[in-house]
Amino acid sequence: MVMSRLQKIPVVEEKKGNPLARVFDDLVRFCRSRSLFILHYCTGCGAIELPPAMTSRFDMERLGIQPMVSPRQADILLITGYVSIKTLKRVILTYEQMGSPKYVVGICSCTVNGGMYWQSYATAKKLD
Amino acid sequence: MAPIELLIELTLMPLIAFIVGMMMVLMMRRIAAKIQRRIGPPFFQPLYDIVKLHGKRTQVSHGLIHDIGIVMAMGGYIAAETLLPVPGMNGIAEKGGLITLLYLMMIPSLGLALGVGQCANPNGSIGIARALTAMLAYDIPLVIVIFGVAYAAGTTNLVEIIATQQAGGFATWGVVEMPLLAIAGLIAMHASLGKQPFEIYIAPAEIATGPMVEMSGKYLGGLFVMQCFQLYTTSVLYVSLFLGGGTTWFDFLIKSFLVLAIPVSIAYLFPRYRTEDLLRLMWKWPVMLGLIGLAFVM
Repeated sequence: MVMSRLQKIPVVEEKKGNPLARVFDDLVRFCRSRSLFILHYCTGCGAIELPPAMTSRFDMERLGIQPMVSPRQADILLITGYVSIKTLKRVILTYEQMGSPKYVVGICSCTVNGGMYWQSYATAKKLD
Repeated sequence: MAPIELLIELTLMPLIAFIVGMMMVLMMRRIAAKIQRRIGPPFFQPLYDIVKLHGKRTQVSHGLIHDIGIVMAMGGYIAAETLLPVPGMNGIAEKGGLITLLYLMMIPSLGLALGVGQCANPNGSIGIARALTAMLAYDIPLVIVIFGVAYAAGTTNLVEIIATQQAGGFATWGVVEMPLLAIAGLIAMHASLGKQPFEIYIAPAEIATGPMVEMSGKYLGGLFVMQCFQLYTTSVLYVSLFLGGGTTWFDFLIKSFLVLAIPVSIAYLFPRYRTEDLLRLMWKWPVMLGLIGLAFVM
């Protein structure tokens, strides 16, 4: 039964051809993985995790991660903290201004399951 | 010189400038990291950034002038590289001279002003207004310094200025003969790099990187390339004027990296001036030093 389920998963067939044809794409992909410009949207206490990551304790610049100040320049949108209904509008507005390929990372429990705000009627329990 | 040879030189000089410029960006970021007790970015980080930005799928253009502005910003510096003699290659430096070089170094700011103008972002407009004000501030001491050096050498030909300094050895270097002009030039160079105490037009926390605020993808990548050229052009110009250029690539590169290390090391220790403070400072101290230096030269 497991096998029959697995067979239903669509797998993108890799085209077999010139092995050098993908070199340029691979280079861009590698550079993308080593150069991440983040934009932090800080709404709550999760933002406190960022300063140690940026500064001399963990130093994210050695992995190529740089904070940016404008959504146009950024690749990754960090949402650190709870998202209320009104905040969500701004998050979406910011997200739409970013250039693709773009990613969103939710930090801390508030974005995953509401965290300590799970009783609040105003916050989105799950950022997803 | 054969046209083929000249063509090869004109192609090679900007390419070398780009590679050296990327290493200068790396050095700048490493110095910042060392001052803040961090490890700093890996060796190829500037290249990763530029390749990634050019490889982004969404490229938001705000119109034709936006595209042309970025090309002008890069092209001005690329044209300036061909006028800067490096060891073994003179390019068109003998025909161009210092005054043309000075004009070409202004083009990037103007190109950026055009490009950012079409973005119609208020932060960008404030940024570019500040950038042009800063240019007004540092260009006056820079012109005084360059005039002083040209007057002392009796020529505006950069190749001859370097040759005179190299023929006489260390005692005829500009920094020994005209120390006041050299100090004024260093301050003007620091301001023209737009680094920290004079960083009025980038100001990430205040106006969201000013001119770069609407730039994404290859446009920002173009500005990153421009920064490589900018660092190279300013430090090599200073080395040519005051440190006798380079006889070999080795001492040429050491000199230009050392010259750049001075403003960069100072930069990360200071916060930012306000625009009017920058104007007051630039028009007071470097101009005063430059004018006294000019009086000694004359």
